Amino acid sequence: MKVRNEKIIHILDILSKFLQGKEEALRLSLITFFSKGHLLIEDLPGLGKTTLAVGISKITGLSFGRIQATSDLLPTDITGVSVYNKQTEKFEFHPGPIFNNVVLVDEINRATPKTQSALLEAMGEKQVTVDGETYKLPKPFFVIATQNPVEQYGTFPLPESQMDRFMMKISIGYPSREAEREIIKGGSKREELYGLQPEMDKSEVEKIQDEIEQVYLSDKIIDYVLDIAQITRKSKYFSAGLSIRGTLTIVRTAKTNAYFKGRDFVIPEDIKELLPYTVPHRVILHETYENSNGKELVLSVLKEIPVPA
Amino acid sequence: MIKVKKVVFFISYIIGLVGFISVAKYVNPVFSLSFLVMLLVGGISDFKKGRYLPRLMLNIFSLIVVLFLAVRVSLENMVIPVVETLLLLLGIKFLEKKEFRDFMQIYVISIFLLAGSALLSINITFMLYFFVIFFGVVISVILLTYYSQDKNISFDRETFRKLILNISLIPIAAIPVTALIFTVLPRTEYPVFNFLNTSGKGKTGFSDTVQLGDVSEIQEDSAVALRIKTDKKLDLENTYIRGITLNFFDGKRWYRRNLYETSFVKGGETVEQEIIVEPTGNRFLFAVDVPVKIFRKDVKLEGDRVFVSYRRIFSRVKYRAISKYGGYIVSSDLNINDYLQLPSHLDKNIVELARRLKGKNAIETVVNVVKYLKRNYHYTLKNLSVSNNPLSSFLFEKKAGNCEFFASAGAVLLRINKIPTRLVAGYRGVRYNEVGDYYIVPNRYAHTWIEVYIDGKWVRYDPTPSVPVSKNDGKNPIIDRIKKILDAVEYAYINSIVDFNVKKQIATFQYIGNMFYHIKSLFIYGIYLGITIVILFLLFKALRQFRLPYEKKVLNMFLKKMEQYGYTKKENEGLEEFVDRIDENRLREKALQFVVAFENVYYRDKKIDKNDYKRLISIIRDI
Repeated sequence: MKVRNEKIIHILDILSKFLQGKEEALRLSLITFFSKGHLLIEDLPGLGKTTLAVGISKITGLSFGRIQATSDLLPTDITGVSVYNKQTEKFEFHPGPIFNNVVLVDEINRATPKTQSALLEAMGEKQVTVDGETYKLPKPFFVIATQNPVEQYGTFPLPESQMDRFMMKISIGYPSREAEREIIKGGSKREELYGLQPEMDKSEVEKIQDEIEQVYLSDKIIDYVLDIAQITRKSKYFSAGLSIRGTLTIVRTAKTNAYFKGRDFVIPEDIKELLPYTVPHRVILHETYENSNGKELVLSVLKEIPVPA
Repeated sequence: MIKVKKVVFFISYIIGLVGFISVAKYVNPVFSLSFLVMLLVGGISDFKKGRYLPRLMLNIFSLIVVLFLAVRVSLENMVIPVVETLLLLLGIKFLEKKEFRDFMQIYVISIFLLAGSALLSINITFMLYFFVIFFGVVISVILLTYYSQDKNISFDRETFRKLILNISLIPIAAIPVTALIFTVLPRTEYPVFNFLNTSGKGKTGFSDTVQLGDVSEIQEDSAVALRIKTDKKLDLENTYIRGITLNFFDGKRWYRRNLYETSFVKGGETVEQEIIVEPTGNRFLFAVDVPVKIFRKDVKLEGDRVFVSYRRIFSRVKYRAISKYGGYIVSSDLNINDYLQLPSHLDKNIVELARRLKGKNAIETVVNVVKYLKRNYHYTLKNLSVSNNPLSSFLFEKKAGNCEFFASAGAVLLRINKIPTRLVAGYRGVRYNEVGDYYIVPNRYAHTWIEVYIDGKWVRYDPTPSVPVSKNDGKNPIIDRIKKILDAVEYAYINSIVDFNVKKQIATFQYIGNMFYHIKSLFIYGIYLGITIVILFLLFKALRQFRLPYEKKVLNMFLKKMEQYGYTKKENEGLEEFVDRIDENRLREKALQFVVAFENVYYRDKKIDKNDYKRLISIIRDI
């Protein structure tokens, strides 16, 4: 799965230094970022999620904000509040951390549902409304949310319908022995990471995002995507299949993937290789199969779909 | 679970077997035995997962069988060798490892065999075989489409039952449609349900009864009734074409009743004809008066020299006939009373008139009657007598009528004078089509005359005043000429295509062949070569028509090539993914080169042009 677009290769090269052995996660994050989507990382703490988020914001020269979700986090802690200014005798809006280009929401499942939905709404609408005033979020806007799969006590797992709002759900996983050895040898590179010089600016990011939209999507590929949607909707294993948002996601990420690979048209592989990250969190397993491994089940169903050509 | 594969195989064997059974009676037992052995071996190979004979060997064997046929076939004996050859080919097909096209070939050959059986005999069991094959093929073809998608596809019992039920609806629904398309539509030129009303009154034309006094006017119908090709010139005016005779008159209508006689034809000049009759809906065939023989299997010659077909003529028929032009019929063993019958309640005036016309002898009486009618009455199609006593009305009131009145009057007047007379219905006059060198007889030339039995001979007399038959022809010479040309084209078409006369065509071929070779066998090889070339040409054209788009073709080529290297692309595998599996570096790179080039066109939805195609092909060749 080689990346051929030079700019992207360059970014990957630089960031790889900070994320040894996590090139795949990095690539997927960038695909999500350039596809104007949001990313959900389900992983244990301490595996480099922050590094990933900070790295992306730094290298693209975008602002970075971080929200640590706790059970007493309020929606206004995310969106910001209006504060009365005595001098001007007016309410002034103090934007919250969400008014950044890259936002890391750590352990989103620890926040209360109310807060979660405020965040997800902001992600979906790309705007927030406080005290009747609507404020546009900056562009580009990229949320990386993390979720701890192990801790269940006092958490509020994201409902399935909310998961749909994340373009991809990935997990970083432990690095390989070799990679970890390098990490130990090199010591912490956090300082270096914060000092990272941007390789592109906001306008360039937007330009790339526009170029990605221009990637050609053949009817044959559309049929393939529709086949995928169809099979998840009809399968006896699932009670709910892929949403329209889901199919759109598949297409958008595929375009980005093709772009990364230096192509201006989509091939089935672009779609196929991202399916494990784009589809499983969007389908709801049938009661009978609730105990089986959802991801495996979804992938085994998708595996059988014939590829055009 | 029911495996589609098994069902397809089973149905195919049934179809093949039915094809065989339909001809089993007629073929040499050696061929039957060979076929059964091959069928059995094929069955064992298929169901016991045995080994198959190599295709090349079987193909060579097939070729030998066909060549063997070429040696055996002759003009006199065409069908059986062909059927036997087909049987062997079918057997060989069963020996092969069966792909989609092999099944199709099995079905086609089985259908040919059934068609061949129809040439050998007509039997009601044909319908049974036909339905088995018809349903079998339809069901099997649909199952085959499943099978060709997935060789191991199977359905559970319930699904399968539903599937078969649904598929069976197709042939059932197809039957009425087929009947419509194949039997009704081709005849629309001829009114569709005309056979329900074949007596066709009110229009000129031949009918198998003569009826007086029902219609007052007859329209002329210039549609073609017969086309006749002769070896001698015919008189355009005075050629009579004989159809049927009628002897029983009830006062309004003439019938054929109790006709027994033995007859032969004497005198006259022999004329050979080839006649094409348009559908009439009745059973009678025509020939130039006096007909001697009609060469047709399903035709019976009756004593009064009327040729009756066993089947009603609802489609064009073509036959050869021999006549004695200007001859007469010599008859014996006939019951004179049948030809002297008169309607009850005969008008006294008619009897009186008959008495008046009586001459010294029979011949003179006949001449008197004919002359009297010709002189004192005139011919018309309009304002005819409509009455319960049409003959009196014609003779004493209207004094005009069509040929039916003249002939009926003549017959009655002669019968009163004890001269046996009968009516003859047919056509009078012909039109020559110099474009195609044949004669046309339009419907309006239909005519009725009488035959008089004197001294053991039937002699033709025509009491109708001679109206030039061609009076309505050639009003506009240019249009007439065009019509003739068009009809000549139609004639040629009917002759060569519609009425497919294999024997004649081969005879023509042979004639040409003899000019060049004088060796019969060589000529037959020639024919086979010709047929093969035509078939190949048609196949080639068909293939071109149904050819795959370039993309698919190229891709198939590539995949085939990769298969040779031992890599088979799975259906759910993308091309790059597939290529990525290849272990050998060099091969992988070459393959990738193709894949990238191909994807560049294919997933951009670009139409592959000849150049792209060539470029891609060259990459594949390079792999």
